[in-house]
Amino acid sequence: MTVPWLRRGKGRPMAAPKAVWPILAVLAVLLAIPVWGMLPQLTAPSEFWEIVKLDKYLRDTLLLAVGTGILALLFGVPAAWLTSTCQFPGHRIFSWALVLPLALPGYLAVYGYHDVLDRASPLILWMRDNWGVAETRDLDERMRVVVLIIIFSSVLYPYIYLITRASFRRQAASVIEASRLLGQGAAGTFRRVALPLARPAVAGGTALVLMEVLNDFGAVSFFGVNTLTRGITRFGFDMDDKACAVRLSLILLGLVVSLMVMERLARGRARFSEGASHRPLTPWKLKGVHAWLATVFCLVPLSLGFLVPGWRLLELARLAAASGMPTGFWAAFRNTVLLSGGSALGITVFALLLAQAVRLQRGLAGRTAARAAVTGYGLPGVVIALAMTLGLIQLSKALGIGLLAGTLTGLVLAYAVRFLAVSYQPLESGLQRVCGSLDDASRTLGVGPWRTMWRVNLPLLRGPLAAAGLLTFLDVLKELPITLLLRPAGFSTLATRAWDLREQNLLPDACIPAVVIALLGIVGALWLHHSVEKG
Amino acid sequence: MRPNLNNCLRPLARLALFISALCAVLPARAAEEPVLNLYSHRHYESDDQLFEAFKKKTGITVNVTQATADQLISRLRGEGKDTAADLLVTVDAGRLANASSLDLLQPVDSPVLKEKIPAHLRDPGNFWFGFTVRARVIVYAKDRVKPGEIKTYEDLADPKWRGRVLIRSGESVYNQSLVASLIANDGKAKAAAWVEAVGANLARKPLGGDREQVSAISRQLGDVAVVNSYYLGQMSVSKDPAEREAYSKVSIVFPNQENRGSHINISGAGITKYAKHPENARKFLEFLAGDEAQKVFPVETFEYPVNLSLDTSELHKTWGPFKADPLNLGELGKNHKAAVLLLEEGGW
Repeated sequence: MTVPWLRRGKGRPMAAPKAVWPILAVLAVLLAIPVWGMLPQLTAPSEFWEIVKLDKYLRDTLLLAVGTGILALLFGVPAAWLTSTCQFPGHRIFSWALVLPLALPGYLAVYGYHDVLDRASPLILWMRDNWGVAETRDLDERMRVVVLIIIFSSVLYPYIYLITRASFRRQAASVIEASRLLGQGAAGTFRRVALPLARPAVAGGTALVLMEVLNDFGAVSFFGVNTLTRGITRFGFDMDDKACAVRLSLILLGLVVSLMVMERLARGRARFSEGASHRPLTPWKLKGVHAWLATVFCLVPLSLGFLVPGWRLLELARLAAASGMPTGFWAAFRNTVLLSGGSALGITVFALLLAQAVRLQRGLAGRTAARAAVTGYGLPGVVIALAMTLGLIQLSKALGIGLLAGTLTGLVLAYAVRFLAVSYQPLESGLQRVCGSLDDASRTLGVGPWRTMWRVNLPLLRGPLAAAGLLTFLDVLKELPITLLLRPAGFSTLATRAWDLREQNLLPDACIPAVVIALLGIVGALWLHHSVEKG
Repeated sequence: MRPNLNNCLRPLARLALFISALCAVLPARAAEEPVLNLYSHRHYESDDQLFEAFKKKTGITVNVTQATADQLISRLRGEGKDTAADLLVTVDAGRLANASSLDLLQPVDSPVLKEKIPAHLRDPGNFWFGFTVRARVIVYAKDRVKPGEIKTYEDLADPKWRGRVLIRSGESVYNQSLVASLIANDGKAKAAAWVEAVGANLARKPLGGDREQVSAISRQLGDVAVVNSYYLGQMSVSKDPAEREAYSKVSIVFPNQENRGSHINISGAGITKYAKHPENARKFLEFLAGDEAQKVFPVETFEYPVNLSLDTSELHKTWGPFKADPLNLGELGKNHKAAVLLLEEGGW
């Protein structure tokens, strides 16, 4: 006997239980809020659009993105290759330690490099004496972008490292073995075999890195680099020209979309799938200079992205803690735990319902929902903050209720738009992988789909649920622009405290919340490493 | 089976009802509490002491939402009558005048405020009040610039300072108000030429706040810098030895003493139009204008009190008295947009 809703292949489309629709409707409403906010602004007149120096914003954004992309590749791919196929001093430690930079969001990593431009003063003076004032001024401006590129690529390369390494170890493993048996050395195998095979993984990782660069708002402000996110906050929130900010947002979204398209093209027909081979590779044993070079190659990004800034944050925090915790620290700590915990719980529960609904509703609606659920993650935080501010004002007016923008409800809704993908994806793949046909069996025995979810799927989904909850928790915890722009009156989190204290010229104090965020981030980074390694 | 529309919408309707109930309940409960919600651009740690003192005196708890004044104004506009803010606190009179012209503030009739605060430091219509004064001064490198070599803001545009001028970004409201005052005093054409000439004289593209400009002088990146007076005070007692040393290497000039006087600005506040606790807000304003708070500002933040007779700061004494530009501070708001446009055009 077959259960109608499970019947695959041709035939009558499977009817989903009624309860699927409200869940999909909630998703539609949630995603409609930001769109609804942006739309009227598209035709609204803009006060300042005429004076926006678009070339400046585009130039800095693109320079930063391209530079970070290239350098992060140079950091991430060799590190992934070395730690998965070679033996050299420290290779075991590096294999997990190299993900640690993920613990430091860019806007906090720059605190560890706060004086790097000051230290360059002698160089600037030398250039001025030899090359002239105006030339030095331009070079100095470029230098800030270069410094930021180095910082960004050293905190973001782990995205490339993680995915590429997984690809080397699983997908490419047997081919690498074959190449080796046919007499290719490490370098030849890397160039001719492993790298082409890992292309989709490398492209995917790079896309994630660039997405983070386009999303950043805090670090670029710190170094006075004029990216589009700064233009959006400047015109949208400082100068209150929402129409202008929406136009800038659309340009930024255009960049995000072209990034996704490029990733597809780079990936080509190949897919990054989890290959079957779990046979460990026989490592190349590097000797002498080569071995030490490998160590250095791994140590450089790890130091730049974690050890150096982490150590300096810790030093500054210790200096500040000597004269007591900064004001509002404990309130911010409590707020952060409650807000991140509450948001993670709410978003994960909704993501679970959504994943189950998508599983039950296999028609167009379900497929669309599955796609829509993950789009938010591609949207930069400031764009979401802008769109949600506008959308929530519209929504509150339409419903005739008190204002939602600037309330915790509004904030959590904005997080949901941005981070739904983070908890949806592990749950979706978990449902597919872990539960497989078990719920089919349960249904065959006459148990309803939701009861099946509760009794059969849920206990099996413990791992994916924990992953979804934890990752969402950590993402909300370190989120800056949305929290900064949408937080309720008088409400601080660790992230906004780290920002506010720095604005008050209290950098050492700002490092205390920063260190707490980083410590929790370490847990998240290691967990991510663990789950990718395990598959 | 086709979905039943009713069934889909019911949970949504419930959710909407729940949210609206939540929103209706929250402000009602807040009104009973002795609280005061500030939207504040002020960012000084010592303000917390004042909040504590105020609480001790009145039992009212002060909550602060901190952001730039422009962001707060933008937020107030969006929130309308649902705003949680009772008092808008800025570090610039122009922003208060702007908020007032956008109908975001309400007047307050307080004999105490009128008595304590000089007329040119408050709004004629009683929409906002200044409670501290700051001067935008020029500092120069003691070892590279002779005393008297620079005397006015206009001097900064002189080609002799090419590659030697340090100033923070024109995105800062301090520079916007300085340019607004130049527009008011010298006219728009001269102000535009000034912005362009200063841009050409810059030692580097603006980076960091006012303090960073002073620090840059000590690293010889430039010879003259524009900075708010109280930052110098804070640097003189900084925990960071490098900042104390940077302060020791510069001399302070109060600009334009031979003509109109130095550009000053206020830190001030106005009660929001839809304040839920306007009485608490009035009490707080009167507290800030009162002798206790006025004595705290000069020693804690190195701002000048509005009542100069209460200035007990030793540092201010060493700088000596100065003549301030008597321009009505509300004028800064009128020229603000023009100033922003000039600075954006000037590219710094």
